[in-house]
Amino acid sequence: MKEFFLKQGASPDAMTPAQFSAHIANELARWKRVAATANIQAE
Amino acid sequence: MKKLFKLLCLAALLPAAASAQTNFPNKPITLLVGSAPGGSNDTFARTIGRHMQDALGVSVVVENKPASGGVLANALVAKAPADGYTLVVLSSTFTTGAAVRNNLQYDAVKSFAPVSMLARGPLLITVGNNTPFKTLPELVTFAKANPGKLNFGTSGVGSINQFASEIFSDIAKIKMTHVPYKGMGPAVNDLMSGQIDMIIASAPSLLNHVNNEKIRGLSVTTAKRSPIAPKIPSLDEYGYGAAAVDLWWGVLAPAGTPADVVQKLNTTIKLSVRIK
Repeated sequence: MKEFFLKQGASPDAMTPAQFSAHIANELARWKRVAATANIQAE
Repeated sequence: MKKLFKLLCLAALLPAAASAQTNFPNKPITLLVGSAPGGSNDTFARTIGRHMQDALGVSVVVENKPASGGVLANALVAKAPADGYTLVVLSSTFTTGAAVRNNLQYDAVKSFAPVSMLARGPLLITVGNNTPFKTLPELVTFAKANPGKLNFGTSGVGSINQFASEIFSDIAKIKMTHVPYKGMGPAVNDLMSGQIDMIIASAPSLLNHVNNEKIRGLSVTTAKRSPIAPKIPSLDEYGYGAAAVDLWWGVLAPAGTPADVVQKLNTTIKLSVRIK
């Protein structure tokens, strides 16, 4: 697993379900703002 | 592994775990993946699947659904019974995709019960060797004096590379020109030959070229330095921590999955990513 993570350039990072939910909701809100400002639309 | 199994057995005996769902799981669990076998999501799913199987004592099956740009697997899990037996393993393209597509058959927040993140990693901010920039502030100073003159390559419109580049431009208050490619390979070739000036992309796409001095790594996109490239400064060190972006992989269940089932899956998955 460690070798696989290294290959992905990632490290293990578990969160509680509540932390992970908040992470996804925050990120989505942020990307929606960026998509609107930079006018990014799906191809 | 035996130790883990004992731990889980002990946990199951604790009175706090008692509830209507204590018999979870008692049948096979399916992990859906929105890409073909061999990709990073698939490899994550197969690896944690093996650990979950050992820890939970039921079979855990990986099913690949590489249709509709990967979103079919998400849609299937959003509509699956909310009992913890159908899960999806996905990456941070889940949120970038949801931010730009308005034809999805699910709501990225309301349709799911997030179970656990598995791993996260930085993107790298790199420039071509033909550019004069040795540090991130040098690039920012040039870009401020020459709006729109620097070109950044991405693997396409709506990619995480574009989101990371746009948010960096926004926080650093600079303007650069987007050059979308069909995939990261050709973009990286053009960075090395000097056709474009900058790329922000994942470590697997760039780190080898940085280490071989074919391109320069100016920063990782995370707030702190990364163990995978400890010599490369972080955004926080330059005061651009607000532009921090990471790639992540995680597991989601359908919305409405009982909290104790989500918690049991979370605990199992958390242990599985820590095992070597």
